Amino acid sequence: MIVAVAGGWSAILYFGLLLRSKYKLTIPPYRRFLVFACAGFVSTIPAATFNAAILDRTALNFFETSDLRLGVLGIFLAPGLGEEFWKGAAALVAVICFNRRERPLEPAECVLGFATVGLVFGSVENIISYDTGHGGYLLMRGLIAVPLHACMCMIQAMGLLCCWRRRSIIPLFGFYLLAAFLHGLWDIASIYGSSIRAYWLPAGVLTIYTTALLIWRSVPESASGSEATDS
Amino acid sequence: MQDQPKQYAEMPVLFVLLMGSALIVTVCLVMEFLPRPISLEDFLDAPPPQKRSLLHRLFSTRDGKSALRNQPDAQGPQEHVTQTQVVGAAAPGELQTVSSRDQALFRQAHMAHQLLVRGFGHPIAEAKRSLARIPTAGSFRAYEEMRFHNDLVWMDLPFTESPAILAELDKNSRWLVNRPEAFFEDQFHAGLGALNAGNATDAIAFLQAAMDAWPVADRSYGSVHLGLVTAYAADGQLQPVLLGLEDFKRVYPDWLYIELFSQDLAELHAIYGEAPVLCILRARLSQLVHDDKTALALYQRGLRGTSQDGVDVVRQWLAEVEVTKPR
Repeated sequence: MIVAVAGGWSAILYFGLLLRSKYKLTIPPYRRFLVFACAGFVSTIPAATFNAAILDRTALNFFETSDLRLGVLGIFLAPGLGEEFWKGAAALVAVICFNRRERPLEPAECVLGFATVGLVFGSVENIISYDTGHGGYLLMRGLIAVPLHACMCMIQAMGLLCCWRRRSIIPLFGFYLLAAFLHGLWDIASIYGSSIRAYWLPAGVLTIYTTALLIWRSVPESASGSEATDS
Repeated sequence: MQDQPKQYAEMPVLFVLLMGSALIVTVCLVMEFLPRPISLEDFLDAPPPQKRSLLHRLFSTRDGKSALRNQPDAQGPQEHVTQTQVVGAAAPGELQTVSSRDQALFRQAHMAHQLLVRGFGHPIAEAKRSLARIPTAGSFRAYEEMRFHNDLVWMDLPFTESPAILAELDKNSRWLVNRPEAFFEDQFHAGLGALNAGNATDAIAFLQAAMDAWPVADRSYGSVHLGLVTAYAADGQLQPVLLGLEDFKRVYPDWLYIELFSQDLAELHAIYGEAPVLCILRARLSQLVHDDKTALALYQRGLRGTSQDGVDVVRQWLAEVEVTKPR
């Protein structure tokens, strides 16, 4: 229980902050966000399987290999391309389900939905993978890693919005690859970068968070401006 | 972003399918071409229950530990230890057949895989792939891999016997015996390789060196003895054969199970021709197990072609057979 609270407290905090900062005219579609949260939870299963395959069955085990090139490749493949894909795929499936059965997604709803997937993903990752760490470490991950996952998902949400607007699949790939690249750089710095860690980590945090906030700021609460209801 | 564009479902679906397939294919390729290297300790220590391979099931003991583990004998110094067997007897406590603990573990892995290949029909290629994943820093790798390969060829010899295979065995065994890691067992194999390749003189030299270096008088020592006596017989030297047969029963405890080696001895005629001394050797071995009919025929064949010193002893053996021969 303590681990769950220590690992997941920040997800609720950040979700609340994002919610409060955007939904001023309309009622937030809580049910949809709950579905996104479930999607985030489910996405941890294939992501964990994918990571385990890379770590246990290939030479790209970035925690063990002494070959830096293989380690970097493993990081870009497993946490980078892998985790970002499973998070994005889970969110996309939720989006597709909504669009087939209900009204289209509002832009803010889409971005916050993706962010919810990332927040839940980061929290579950904290609870499952880092439960042996001490409380301080979990709190730190809650402050840095959990919102990082959310920011990556927000970048991917931007790709989906651009994809719809431009009627092209390229933005989906482009923003996904950008998120995977940033995630990879982040992990490289945190795993290997003893000398660059001091510079890259704070700079990376600021850059990624700023990007996410700019994305969040750019999406309107409602595309039509009318009051949306989810009841 | 103010206007709500149409939210196509096809493109996200396409993205998920394409990217998902690409990732799965990538992981499969990486698993195939960049498999995870395993340390010798990982390889030999018992893995978690859900990952138990046939190899580890095979070697699991009742207390749940694996028999595939660091043996106390292998806990020697990491640095190189002189191969004393090539030049003489090993000092007490000195490693007998390996130069380091890593080499001992590496060989243990090889032997385990040999068992899998022999006993359970595992493909050799798969065993080699598995062994190739074990990282070793020692210079013994090439030597150990050739030993593994050569041992498997030896095991397959009864099924795949051909001049090409025999030549390969001879060549590989000679390569092994010239390596700095070589020890008495390699000399034994080199002797057998030379014998089967038709070079009895070299075989005698290798087998004599193996006998001199062999550290214990065990069953394998008896096999070296039989090999040496056979090499002398193939070379046509009667006196050493008679000498070797004097205490044959004591030195070679498996003399009773003649079916284990009689066929191999008979097949040497295809290489060495009539070889009368070889006939005499085969006759005496048959006589030991009271196969007097075979012994009689072989003695007569052997005595027709030799008139060396010691023939009297052979005639005496023949007389014993003639007394007891079946009607």
